[in-house]
Order: sequence, then C-alpha cells, then structure tokens
Amino acid sequence: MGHLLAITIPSWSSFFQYIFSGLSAGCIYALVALGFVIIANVTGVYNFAQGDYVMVGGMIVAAAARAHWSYWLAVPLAVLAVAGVALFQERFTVAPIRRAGPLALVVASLGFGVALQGIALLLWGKDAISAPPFNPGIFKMLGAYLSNQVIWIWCTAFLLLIAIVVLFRFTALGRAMRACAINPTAARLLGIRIGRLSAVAFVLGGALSGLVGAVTVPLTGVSFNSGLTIGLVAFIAAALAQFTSPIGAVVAGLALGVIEALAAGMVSSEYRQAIVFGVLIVYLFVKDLIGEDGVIRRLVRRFQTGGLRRGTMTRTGSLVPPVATDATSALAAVAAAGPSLARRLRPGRKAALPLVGLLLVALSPLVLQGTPAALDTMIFVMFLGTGATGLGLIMGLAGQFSLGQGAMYLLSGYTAAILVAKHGWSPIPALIVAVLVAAVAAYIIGWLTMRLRGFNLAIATLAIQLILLVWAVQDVGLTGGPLGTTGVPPLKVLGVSLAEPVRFFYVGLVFLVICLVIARNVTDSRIGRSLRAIGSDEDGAQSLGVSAARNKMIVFVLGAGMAGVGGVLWAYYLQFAAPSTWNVGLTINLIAYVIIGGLGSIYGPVLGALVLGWVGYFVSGSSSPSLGGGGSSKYMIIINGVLVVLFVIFFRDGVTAGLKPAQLRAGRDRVRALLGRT
Amino acid sequence: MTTATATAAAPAAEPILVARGLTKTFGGFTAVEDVDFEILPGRVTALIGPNGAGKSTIINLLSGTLLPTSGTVTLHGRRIDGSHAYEIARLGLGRTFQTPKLFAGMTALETTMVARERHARTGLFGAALRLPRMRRDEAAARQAALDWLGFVGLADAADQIAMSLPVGHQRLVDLARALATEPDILLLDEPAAGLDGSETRALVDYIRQIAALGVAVLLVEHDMSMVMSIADHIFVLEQGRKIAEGTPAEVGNDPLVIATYLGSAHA
Ligand SMILES: Nc1ncnc2c1ncn2[C@@H]1O[C@H](COP(=O)(O)OP(=O)(O)O)[C@@H](O)[C@H]1O
Ligand SMILES: [Mg+2]
Repeated sequence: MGHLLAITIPSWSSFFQYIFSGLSAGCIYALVALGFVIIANVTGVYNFAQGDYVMVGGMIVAAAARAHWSYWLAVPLAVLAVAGVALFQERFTVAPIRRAGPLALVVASLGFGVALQGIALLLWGKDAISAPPFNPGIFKMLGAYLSNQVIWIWCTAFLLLIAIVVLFRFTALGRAMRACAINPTAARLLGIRIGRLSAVAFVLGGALSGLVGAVTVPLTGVSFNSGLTIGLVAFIAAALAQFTSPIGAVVAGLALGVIEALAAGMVSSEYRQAIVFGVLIVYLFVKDLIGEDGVIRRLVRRFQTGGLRRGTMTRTGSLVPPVATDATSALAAVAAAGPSLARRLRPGRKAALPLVGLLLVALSPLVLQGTPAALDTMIFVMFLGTGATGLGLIMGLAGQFSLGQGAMYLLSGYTAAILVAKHGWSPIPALIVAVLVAAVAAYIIGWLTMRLRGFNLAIATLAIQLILLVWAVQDVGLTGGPLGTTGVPPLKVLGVSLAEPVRFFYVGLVFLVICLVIARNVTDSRIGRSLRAIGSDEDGAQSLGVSAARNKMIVFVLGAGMAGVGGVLWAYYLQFAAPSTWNVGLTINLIAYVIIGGLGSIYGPVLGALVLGWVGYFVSGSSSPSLGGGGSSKYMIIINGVLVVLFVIFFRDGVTAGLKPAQLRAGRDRVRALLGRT
Repeated sequence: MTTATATAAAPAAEPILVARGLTKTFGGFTAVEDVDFEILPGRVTALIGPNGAGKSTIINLLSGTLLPTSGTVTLHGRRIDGSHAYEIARLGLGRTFQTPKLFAGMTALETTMVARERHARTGLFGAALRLPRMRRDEAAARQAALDWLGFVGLADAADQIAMSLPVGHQRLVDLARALATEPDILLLDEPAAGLDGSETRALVDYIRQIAALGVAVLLVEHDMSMVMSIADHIFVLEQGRKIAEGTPAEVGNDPLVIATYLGSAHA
C-alpha cells in the first residue's frame, strides 16, 4: 500500500474520550450482537437483517423528531415498529422455510434486510439524517467531553442487559428458549413449541435493535445503508462469542467498539473499521491455527505420521472385481449393454435451450443498436454474468456463501486499470494478471476461512470487501482515491479497436460464453460430482477419498476468477476504475441474480442478470447497473431484496424452474401452503 | 496375546492395520477403551459385540470419521490416527456405513464413480476444458464403477437413482462404492442388516471373494451364524473393551463370551 499507518499516542483526556465514545458504539454492537445470539440460538437463523433493524429504529425516531413529535412517543413507536417488522420477517420469511436449510434462511434474511434498506431509501432519501439529543448539553468526565445522549445510551444498554438476564434466568419463557437452544429436538418432546419461540426470539431481537437505533440516532445519525456495518461488526462480536454465549457477545461488542474508537483516534479514522475487521481475520486465523482440527494440530500429526503423500497407492496391481458366481451373468449383461449404456449415462445436458437463449442475446445488438442505454444494459449483463456464473458455482455447487464477489471485481478491475493506465501494459497480459490476483486473493481468504463451518466465509469476504473499498478511496497514490483510476485507454487488441459498444458487447459475450462453458464442464466433471456428493453426505464422500476442503476451494477460486474477468472488462469498458462501481450493492445484485436464476443451475445466474438488468432498465431508465448498486436507482434495491426473499421462499429453483413443470408445481404448492397457514 | 494368536493363524502375513490403546470418549462417556488389535491381509476379521459396545465407533476411528481421544492406528506401517478421512481413504482404507446415506439425486453409477477420485489424474484445468485426458479418466472411472456394480449384482440398476433403490440394494451400492476405491482394507459395518436370506448368502460370497483378492476385511456383524461361517478371526467387544479374541471355535467356546454376548443374544 502507498503509505504507512502511523500510530499517534494520545493525551489522557483524549484517551478517555476515545474509550467513552468507543463504549457508546460498543453498546450498539453489544445489543445487536445479543439479538444475533438470541435469534441464532433459538431458531438457528443467522439473521443478516439484524443491522437493518437498528437503521429502521433510528430512521423512525429521526423522522418523528423532524415532525416535532415527542421522544416519549417516538421511541416506543420505533421499538414497536421494529418488533413488528421482525415478527413479520419471522412469520413470512423464516417460518415457511424452516426446514430448507441454513443457506436458504440466511439468503432470505439478507434479502429481507436489503428490502428494508430499499424501503428506507424510498421513504427517507439517501442522505444521512439525524435528530436532536434527548436532553441537549454535554458533560465532562475524566477530562473527556461527552454528550448527554451518551448517558441515555449507556443506561439503556445497562437496563436492557439486566432485563435480558432476568428474562432468561428467571422466567418460564426464558428457560424454554434456553432449552430450545441447547437441544431443539428434546425441547419439542417436552412440549415446547419452536414456532412460537422463534417468533418471540425475533420480536425480542427486533425490539432490542430498534431501541438501540432509536437511542443512538441523535449521536450517530442514520442513513438507509448504515445497518450494514453495524450488523457486520455485531455479527463479528457474536461470532467471537461462537453464537452461544450472550455475555460473551456483549463483552465482544463492547470491546470491538472500544477498539474501533481507539483505532480511529490513534491510527486513522478511515481505517477504523478495517482494523475491527482485522480483529475478525486474526481471530479466524488463530482459531484455524489452534483449533481441534487446526493447522498446528494437523502439522503435529503430519509430523508424527511421517508424512502422508496424497494419493499414495500401496497396492502394486489394481484391484479388479472377480468374475464369478451369480454376479457373472449380471456382468455379462453389462458387457453386452456396454457401449449403449455408457452412452446413455454420459453426462450431457440438454443444451438446446441455453443455446437458443445465447443466440438471441448474441443477436440483440441488431435491435438495440439505436438505443445506447439499452445496449449498455446488455453490455453490463455480460460483465455481471461472468461473476454471477462464478457465484452460482460457489453457492449452488459448493454450497458456500460468499459475500465478497463484488470485492473480486474491485480487485481485478483496479489491478487491470492500474497496470494499463499507469504502467502501460497491454490489455491481455493485464487481464491475465488481474484475474490471477482475484484468484490468489480468493485462495488466501478460502484458506483462512473455508475449513470453519457456518457463515465465516460470508462474513470474512464481506469484511474484506469493505476494507478494500476503504483502501480504494484512501490510497490516493495508487488507486487515484475517490475519483478512481483514470486514463485507461480504449480497448485495442492487436491493432483492432474494440471500444465501440457493439464490438465491446461481443468481447463481453465471448468471455461470458467461456465462463459458461467452464461452469458447465466443471459441474459435469469429477469435481462437480464430488461436490454434489459432499453436499449430500460429507462423511460418505470423504470416506471415498474426496476432500471437501479441496473441492470447495477449487470452485471458490474459480468463481472468484470469473468475477475477476467481469471486473477487468468493466474497467476497460468504462475506461476507469472507481470505488463506487464495485461496492457491496454489486455483491447483493450478484446474489440476487443467482437466487432468481436458480441455485444450482448453470445458466440461471446469467438469466437472473438478464432479467434484473432489464427490470432495472425499465424501472429506473438507468443503463448502468453500477448505479443501481450504488443506490441512486432507488427502486432496484427494493426489487432485488423482495425478489430474493420471494424466490427463496417459493421458487428455490429460480426462473429456470419455469422450464420444468414439476418445480413450478412445487413452488405453487408452497404459495398455497403459506396462504393456507396465515 | 494378540500378536501370538494372529501370527499363529497366518505365519507369513504382516498385519496391514494395527491399532494400539485405541480410546474414544464422548464428553465423560468412554465408548472405546484401550483396544488393541491387528488386521491381516486376505483375511476376514470379525468384530462382534452387543449393541452400543462401540463397534461403529471403532470403524469411525479407523477411517478418520472420528478423531481418537488417545491411542494409535497404523496402516501399512504409517500412523493414520488424526489424518483426515479422505487421506486415509486415499491410503487404501475403504468402509461402509451402518446406515448408508447415499448421495441425493445421483444414480448408482455416479455414486460409485465418486469413489474413483483417488484414481483421477486430471485436475481443474482438465475438467474446465474437458481435455481428452479427462475424458479418458471419466471413461475409466465409469468402467470401473460399472464393474464393481456388476460385482455386487447391480449392473442393471446402474442408472437408477441410488436412494430410490430398495434398502438392501442401497447397502450393496454402499459396498460397491467402497470397493471402487480399490481398498487394501475394507471395513464393513453390519452389511447384512436389511438383506434377505438369499441376499445375505450372496453377500457372504462377495466377502469371501474380496478377501481372496488379498484385501483385509473387518466385518462388524450381528448375525452370529454368518460371522462363524466366514470369519478367520474374531474380536469380541463389550462396553468399549475387548473381552476375547480368537478363531470362531475358540470364541464360540469362551465362557465369558457365551455369558456376556451369546447368552444375552439368545436369551
Ligand atoms: N457421536 C457420539 N456422541 C456421543 N455418544 C456416542 C456417539 N457415537 C456413539 N456414541 C455412544 O457410544 C456407544 C457406542 O456406540 P456404537 O459405536 O455406535 O455402538 P455399536 O457397537 O452398536 O456400533 C453408544 O453408547 C453410543 O451411544
Ligand atoms: Mg453400530
């Protein structure tokens, strides 16, 4: 990186200033983390909408304050409203899919959070808003000057903690929830109704976060996407507490708040969150180092066992089935049926439909040529399609949840732009290096997080994207800062200019088709087969010599490389790289494409990108999805979020299921079941 | 002594797998306690004992599905305790499951082809570009898988979804896929459960043939008549401890075994 981060030693009074403001932020993280732990324990859901509850609570109070409502009315209203939102989420997006598996639940909660952000954007605009303090004024403590609002925050946090402890220790409801957390099956046998407890947990988590948002908004302000970082840091606190210990979550939340404030004061306020995320990475790293199945233990064992060579064959000849007894006739039958049977079983997909689709896409410039914005929409579908295809493999085939696919665009886009613009590289070598950078980054992230279960990969990748975004803005010397890396020349390969939109469309199409072919081949290959086996029964697959970690890693790196291709093309087309292009909104878009296109489908993610790209075109008139990602196309955020939720609940196989009647019927049945239930 | 008995039975053969002081505790409960044994190539070694004695746990410990709390396991003279299950499988240890969970949505053939991972020579590039080398790999894998399915008499079911087969046939698919890894040692966890009489007789025949190829077989079984008829050597486990071992005749006449296991089984 371009510059070193220097540490400034503060005076005592500013030291306390940092500590106290850190404790205020820490209270937010602690309470939201507590909400995470309660919900995760009782329902098994890692609720990615939790941070957005804080945002909604803050928004309601800020809007009420603008309308000169009393806080005595506004704060309870905010708490009730957020509790209601949480109840709504539980009833409509958790309860119907409780048995659909953790990935579906998490994606649904993410979609719900995105929808909340979109609604907030519509109602309250995209600029941050604030509210006056409950009691104006400041006070001094240990040399630090603090707003009176801080007292409100601390007292609220303290009282809530006591209330939670009392609830869990001393009431029947709390005991039932603890029982449920320890052993859901046993709890059910004891007559505890999981459904009701799950609703209670969500209401509780919602009320907690809503109150936090309401009380802190005078101090921190709020904007439609401010729940993201709050949710992420709180998630980290909850993860540090292993999602089991409420006290641990509170302590971790407070500690992260203080670390963040100290980092802001003593190192750099821009990098303060990067430093918090760094804590997570170090934690994951150390955990991986010393855990039961950690690197250290494994190295020790490796040493004891005298080294295992992979794939060692100890048998001299190969083991062939003896041909004898009553198996003989069966074998003979196979030999007779041999070639035809083998041909029948060869993995081959009905490629006709995708081919027709691709042909239509390839011909689209004929129609769109006259409308630059429409042609642009199609071009961006190419860039988004590569990364979406990669994410489809990661989520659908490897069963991993990455929230950093946008980061791979960012990494490779910047790498290519910098190499071409500043170092005079030609575009093809720069593309190759940039894609390799994304792949290597994915390898390192995967190595740090993949062996751990749960959603560590999602959190780590999201944290890395946020760090990279900060870096792209801050490291002006290398990246050009907020203005981005400019000066990328129009694309020209071997003397042929390709920058003109129709030509660039075909460049994008070629790369997209390459990605699709690779995705199809890998899915049909031994790697795809092994991953499907792992997804179904990991122990069984491993007993056959299949390494889960290795196969997942291969696909994660491959998927990141595909995103890398998209990022490079994007930078070449726009002729610059900017932080706003590849933000978290992009990652969310890509997830939406995968879910809407159909998890586990090869061509689905591209179809999803196509559908949502055109929805965006008609809804907002905006050609560039990057703007949608950035938040200026305000309807797209809601549409993305709502569609993700609806598809997870009703059409888990995505729009490609529309081509298969059985899956369509299953979706219809799910709609009926839900309507019947309510 | 263990070694004495084993060498008496097979003077020439070196044990392929040796477990020493094998122990596994779950929380405070000791499921397997300080168990020693050796398994010889080309022999059928049986592990018997009442329900909950720790037989499946031993198979999980040997195959790396569970980590031993203490004790050592060596395969071909190499320590394997603590290695990942897939590494152990690649070293030549195959196993079946007491309740096989076959892979959802896969045909019997695909399920068995998963087991050819150890023999594949091509990686991501071969797969992504569908290189000729990779197609040869696939063809070889398909042939081997078909051969092993044919061996267990399921050639006709090759392109049926494995999980939709009758339970007995699912067990045979589990056996075929374990065999398709071409193991040097095969651990079978109650393979006859759910099979009818003629299927059981066929299974006995398969096991004999597998052993005749030089594979060491460890058979966990409830069916005493089956064990007595094919085992070369028997270990008796009770409450996690080895209480007796020897030839079928020796074990059958051991008063302790009769009292604790056969007694209870026939009572
Ligand atoms: N994962 C586990 N956690 C706790 N206890 C276990 C676990 N697996 C097995 N046990 C216990 O260990 C004992 C031995 O089980 P097992 O090896 O399955 O017996 P069996 O001889 O019938 O195959 C049983 O009491 C069982 O309850
Ligand atoms: Mg058992």
